[in-house]
Amino acid sequence: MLKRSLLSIMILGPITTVQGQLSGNNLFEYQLGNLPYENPADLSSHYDQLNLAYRYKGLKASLRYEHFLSQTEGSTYSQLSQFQVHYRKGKFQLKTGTFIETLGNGLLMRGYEVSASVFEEEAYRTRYGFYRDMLGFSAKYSGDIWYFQALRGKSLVNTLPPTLSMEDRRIDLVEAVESGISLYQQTLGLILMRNSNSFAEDYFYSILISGSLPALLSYNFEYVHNLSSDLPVLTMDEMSRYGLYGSLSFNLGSFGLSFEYKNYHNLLIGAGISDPPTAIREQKYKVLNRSIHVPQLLDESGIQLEGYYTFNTHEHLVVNYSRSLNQFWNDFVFTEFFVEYSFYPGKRNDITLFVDYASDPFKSEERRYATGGMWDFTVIGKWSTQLHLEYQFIERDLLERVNIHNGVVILGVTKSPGLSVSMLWEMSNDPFLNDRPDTPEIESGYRHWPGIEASYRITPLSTLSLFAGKRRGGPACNSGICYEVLDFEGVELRLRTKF
Amino acid sequence: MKFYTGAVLLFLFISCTYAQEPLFRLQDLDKQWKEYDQLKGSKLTVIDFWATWCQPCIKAIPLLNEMAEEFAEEGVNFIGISVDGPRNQSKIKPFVQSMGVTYPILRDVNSELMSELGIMAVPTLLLYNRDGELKYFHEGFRPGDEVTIRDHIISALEK
Repeated sequence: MLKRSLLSIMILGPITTVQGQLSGNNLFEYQLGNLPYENPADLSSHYDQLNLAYRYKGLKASLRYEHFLSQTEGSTYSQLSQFQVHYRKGKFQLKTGTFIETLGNGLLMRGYEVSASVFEEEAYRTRYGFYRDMLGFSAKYSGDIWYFQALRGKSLVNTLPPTLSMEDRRIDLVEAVESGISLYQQTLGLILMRNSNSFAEDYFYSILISGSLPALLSYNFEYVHNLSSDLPVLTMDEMSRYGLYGSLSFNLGSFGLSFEYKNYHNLLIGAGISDPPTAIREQKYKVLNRSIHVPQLLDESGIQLEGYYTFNTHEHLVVNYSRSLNQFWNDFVFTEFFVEYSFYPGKRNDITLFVDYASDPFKSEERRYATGGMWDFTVIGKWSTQLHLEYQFIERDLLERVNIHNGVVILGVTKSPGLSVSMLWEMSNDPFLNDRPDTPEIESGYRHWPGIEASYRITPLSTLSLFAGKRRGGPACNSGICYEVLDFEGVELRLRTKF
Repeated sequence: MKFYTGAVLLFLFISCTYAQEPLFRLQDLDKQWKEYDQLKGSKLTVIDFWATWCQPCIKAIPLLNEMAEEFAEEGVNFIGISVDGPRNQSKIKPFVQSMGVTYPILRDVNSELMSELGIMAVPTLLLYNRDGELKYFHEGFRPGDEVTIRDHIISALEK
């Protein structure tokens, strides 16, 4: 499939004449350092990602080349990792090669890319761009009343590194059609999907309903079900594989409200091609982002309610409540309350404060409390300072009861638009983090992660960033995607360029 | 093999029917399709890529909204493009309406347009002239950036 798709690009490339437009970007990252307690401590590696696109009117050919060089044996690679020919004319689109596509709300299949992120797994120690694309083709017609999409392709398992073969990294063959009609701002759609790999072949259908009611209310529902079983198609019992997601959005003046409902059961599809809405707030604060509840697709149901109120142009309140139930050997009920208030006292201050409470018995964390805030102060002209404080207290009851304290302090100076320097410090007494793997003793006490981060915009299209120190890893959620970030100790230099 | 030969031949055929395509065609918050040509300004167009989970984006929005109102009569149109995935789709509309955003907001759910334009981070602001040429590219948002952005708009209007 790779060779055939490349052949398409090679034939089409010269045809597009010299009148088109060539553009692209490049991400270069150099690291001198390693994971904590790993040798050598001064491991040297670099990663480069080059994206090139040639566009002539409605036709675009693009490619991505990734390269990683490291002293770690077996981790080095250089490869053309993405290539695509994309044709767009009016309401019609055709893509072949690698592409990113989502069916419905992502309950059946979701592709994504976390831009400019570089992913690394501890087992493989190689670094690569973090995205889940498909290799195949997609055709789409998006009319004002009627829409239709057909796609066929092999989905990427992005936790497996590029040092493995294409066949090993693309296990699932996804074939799907989606169609629907829209009338008077109300849409009704249907998806049929077949997913096959060497272990199983599954068929699913999905019904989508969405729309807006005059001015105030919007709604969006999706119901998916497995077609392979002998059970009736609408059954939602223990043996079935189904997903139900619904959302309502409401507005009245400066007040906004979003309500979401989820009910997922046996919805792990293939090697993990589905990614349904989590109905959990994606937190931007470090201590909360690490603790985000990740849905268990074997069984999860729940709700999320988020409200917004703007007092005046620069004063804003966010209130969030979420609740999830996982029914395994026990019932695990996750709950979280979150409040954030942003205000601007005087014209030179910009302050955001938050408080959070959560209970997460699935992680044996009966109570989690967190608070903190960010303060930007304009010193003079384009110079400003930033102070960012976070504190989290966790009561964990696993084997023995422990009280955990997590803290974050960031102090920074910026000059708009292109210069920033920050000092970072994180600390924790979490026993999972403090025991050194290279000693027989069980260490306790506090562990610290000090660091310095600087960024300089060389031109509007080029930015150089530097990190030096210790970076705390752990679970992270970014762009709606949750994944694991490794700890790092050393120096990291990044250059991002657009052309 | 027949399929791919067919696909190549199909591309060759449609490549003969080239026509200038608008910069984008995306759905708005009510799932109505909008093209760049419908929303662009008579002199300048400012496009802001943002997301509900991005703190600098949220800080920039009220300031961009003020600028959109300030320059509206000078032929400068603002367009917001949310790159939120399915996870946060239900929050976009109540969020922007509660903030009183007056310029149109569109959805780029799979970040396809973002990727097509070579944008690697949010917020990113693009300034286009009436001929569709990119005149200014601004990544990130820090205190004081609103002054820099305003200066570039004024400078581009004077040219």
